[in-house]
Amino acid sequence: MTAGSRSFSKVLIANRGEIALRILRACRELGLRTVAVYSQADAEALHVRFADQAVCIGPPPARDSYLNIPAIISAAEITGADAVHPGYGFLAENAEFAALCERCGLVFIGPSAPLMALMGDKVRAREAMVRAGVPVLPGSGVLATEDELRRAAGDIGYPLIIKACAGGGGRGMKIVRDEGALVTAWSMARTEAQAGFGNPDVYVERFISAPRHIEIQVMGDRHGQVVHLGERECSIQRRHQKLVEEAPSAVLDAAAREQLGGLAVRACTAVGYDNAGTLEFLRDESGQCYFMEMNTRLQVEHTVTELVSGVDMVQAQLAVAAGERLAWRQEQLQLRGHAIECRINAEDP
Amino acid sequence: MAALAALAGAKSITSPFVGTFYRAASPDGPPFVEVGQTVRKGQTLCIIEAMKLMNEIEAELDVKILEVLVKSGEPVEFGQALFRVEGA
Amino acid sequence: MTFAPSPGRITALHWPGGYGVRVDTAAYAQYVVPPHYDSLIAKLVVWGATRDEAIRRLRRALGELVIEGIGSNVGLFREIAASDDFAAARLDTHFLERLAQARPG
Repeated sequence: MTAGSRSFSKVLIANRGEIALRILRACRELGLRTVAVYSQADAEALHVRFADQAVCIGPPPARDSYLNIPAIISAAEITGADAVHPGYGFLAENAEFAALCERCGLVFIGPSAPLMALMGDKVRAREAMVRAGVPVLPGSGVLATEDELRRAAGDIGYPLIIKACAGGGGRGMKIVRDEGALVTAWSMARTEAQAGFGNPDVYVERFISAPRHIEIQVMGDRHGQVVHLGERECSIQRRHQKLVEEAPSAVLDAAAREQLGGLAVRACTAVGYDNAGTLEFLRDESGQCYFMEMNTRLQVEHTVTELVSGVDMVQAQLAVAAGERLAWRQEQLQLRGHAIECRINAEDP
Repeated sequence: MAALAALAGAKSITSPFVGTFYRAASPDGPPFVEVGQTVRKGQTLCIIEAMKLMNEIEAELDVKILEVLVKSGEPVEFGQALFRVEGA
Repeated sequence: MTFAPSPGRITALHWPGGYGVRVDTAAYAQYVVPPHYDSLIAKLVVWGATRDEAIRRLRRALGELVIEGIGSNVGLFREIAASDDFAAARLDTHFLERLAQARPG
């Protein structure tokens, strides 16, 4: 490890299910010890069995276990873990958790807390992208009054979508098709945003009715280097939940991939992004891609990127979190073949 | 059925959270409770340290301590049995 | 389709394998899917030298997959993998609605 690195040897995995196993595997291959945390509902889970140590952190409800920050930090303390991987979901995009880990001397496997907070605020993230020259949909800033709302809606036109500043992943959105429905939808969206995220701020954007969902995977280190690992297409969704993802997208040629990937790298370099991140774009029928939001974590669908790039993304996350430089330059990353992922859910067919 | 009946009078007190178990307020201090002692509801049984905070764990009922299941200074997880007790 | 979560005990389980097939999961036979968390139980991932090869491999892998005891969306993936729109990469966020409308009856 290089000077100034923040090496660690025991990783607490603050998650469950397949992603806890995925992280465990990466740690084991790198010679890192592992600590699983689990709720009382998961005593028979494989991540508990396969980890070097396991700590029960609470009863079954997630708010009392996998979202229970003091219990997770305590589990790290009593086991001597010196790093935390949050996986996806649960605390993965909680900037306060990331900051608390660092204050407690735990390396958080992800971007720095201020960057998570920046990208978690959808209006600030949009502004950061505009500054970096990334196309965004015509939209507004935070709309606090009905006058501001009407003016913004008049500029943007219909249909439009109202989004929560603190939202993401499809939560807290309202589509408005004409002016008559505008004010009601806006006040409902504010109420929902307050209830769901503790923050009533909303903004509006032009709504694309049948977009393709295309996202760029980036990886940055703590030395200012950022690369992209190509795109994924995640258009097959149900209620904003992705079901099938593939890499590459059938509609991006090499030039379009270079262009979109280059934009993502430029934007991430500008804000000093490190670790894994995903810039989500909507592509309209004309082929124009617009930035939608950035996810500051490992994605469920990172697997398709791994299969076409040959990069173990979790191991790369661990390496850059330890202060290492990225192992490859952009021109060394070659994408090969095609990968498709299906998310198999336990649900009534 | 006999085994179940024999166990019916004994219960355990479990840890309400993850942390480090201490039997006394200071390393050299006397333990809060000893085996054989009967404690009153609200009386301190032990300390669980979590995130540098010392949390006193109190008895929820009047009970007699039959066994201390964890050594002082050992880590405990949520739901782990700390004391074997019976109703007093 | 209700898409309601279907927690419960997995009574029989067989994952596909072979070249170009990856299954990321924490489920096993007799595992009980708890009702408290999201319903993802596995990610089936296939690789092919081309998109067509990947789709043929996906169809093959889905044919080998067995999950019994709980409901799952495996049938939906078989339908997607067999569809002309998917083969032709005619995709957008309304893909599943069109697939449902095209169903007989």
